[in-house]
Amino acid sequence: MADATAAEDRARTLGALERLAATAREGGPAQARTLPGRPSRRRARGVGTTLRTNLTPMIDVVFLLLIFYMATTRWGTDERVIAMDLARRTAQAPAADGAAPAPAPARDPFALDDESLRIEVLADGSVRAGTPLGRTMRLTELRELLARECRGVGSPGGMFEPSFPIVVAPAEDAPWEAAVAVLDAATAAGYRNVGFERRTAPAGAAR
Amino acid sequence: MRASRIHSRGPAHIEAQLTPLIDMAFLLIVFFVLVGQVASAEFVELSLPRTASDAPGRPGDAQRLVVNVVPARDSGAAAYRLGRREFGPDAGGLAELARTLAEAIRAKPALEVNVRADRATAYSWVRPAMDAVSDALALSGVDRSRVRVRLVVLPAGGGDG
Repeated sequence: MADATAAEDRARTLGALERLAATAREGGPAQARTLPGRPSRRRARGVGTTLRTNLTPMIDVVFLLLIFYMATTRWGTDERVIAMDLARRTAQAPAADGAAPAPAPARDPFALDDESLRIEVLADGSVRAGTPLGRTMRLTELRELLARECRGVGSPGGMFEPSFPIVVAPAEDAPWEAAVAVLDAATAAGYRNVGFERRTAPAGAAR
Repeated sequence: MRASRIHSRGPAHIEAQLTPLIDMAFLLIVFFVLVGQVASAEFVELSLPRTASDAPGRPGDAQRLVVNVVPARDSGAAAYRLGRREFGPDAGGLAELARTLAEAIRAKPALEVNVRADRATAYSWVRPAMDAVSDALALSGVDRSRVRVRLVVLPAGGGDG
């Protein structure tokens, strides 16, 4: 009975040794490979590694974009300008208490009417061209007329030289757009001496 | 704090370097605030007259003053505005406008003066602004051969003003 028990113990021990040998041949104990929480070989030295985001290239690119848009953006709308000479007013500006300034020099009574082409702008937007044209017309008609009568390469038989003075005289209640449209028509036709009529009325409150 | 699966011994520390980003955001805010103030001081919301031709030129790079005719009801003018200053549409306001313009022209004789007015404003309210420019040159004593003013318009097919 004791021999039988000793033999069983021996066989069990041999079996265990054989299993150990088999697992050693396969590369070590399988249990050790599946242990949770064991640090990997790469991160074995560091615990709690810090990840950093390098933002410097992004900031560089943003600055480049900023400079680009600053250089290419036009602040404000696409506004244009019509350059115009004003009559020089030698009189003093009106005083703050409302006193009228000195009146402009009177018009030469011997001056001829055809020294300049006077174009009145009426309140409804129509225009009345003075001597030598002498009639009321729509703005589109005036535009064509001014272009046709401006003597130049395109129209050698035109009535007016490009230096011929064009005086725009809007009515008091004429809209600003109509006044500017006549000015634009004259400058677009090629006239170089275009301006608003100088009023002898005192400057200051218009009404 | 719960441990991550990758780093079982502690949480992963992810840091973003936000200081340059905040610096730049502040710079942008300051820039746009300044530009916005300059633009709003110079330009009044107006419906500018639109031209039918391409004759008008682009505004130059020269320093300029912009006189805005602030529109009122019934095609009148509520005020004349130069930068942030407003002048009343009466004789006293226009005289003050001329004096202010004269001081600016005296300080910088090469200044350009632009006049902006709404398309529906009556001419009788725009003319005083141009007269004020002319008066300003006379007051300034600057020897200029001529008084030049630039009327601000929108080109044919351009955007709204």
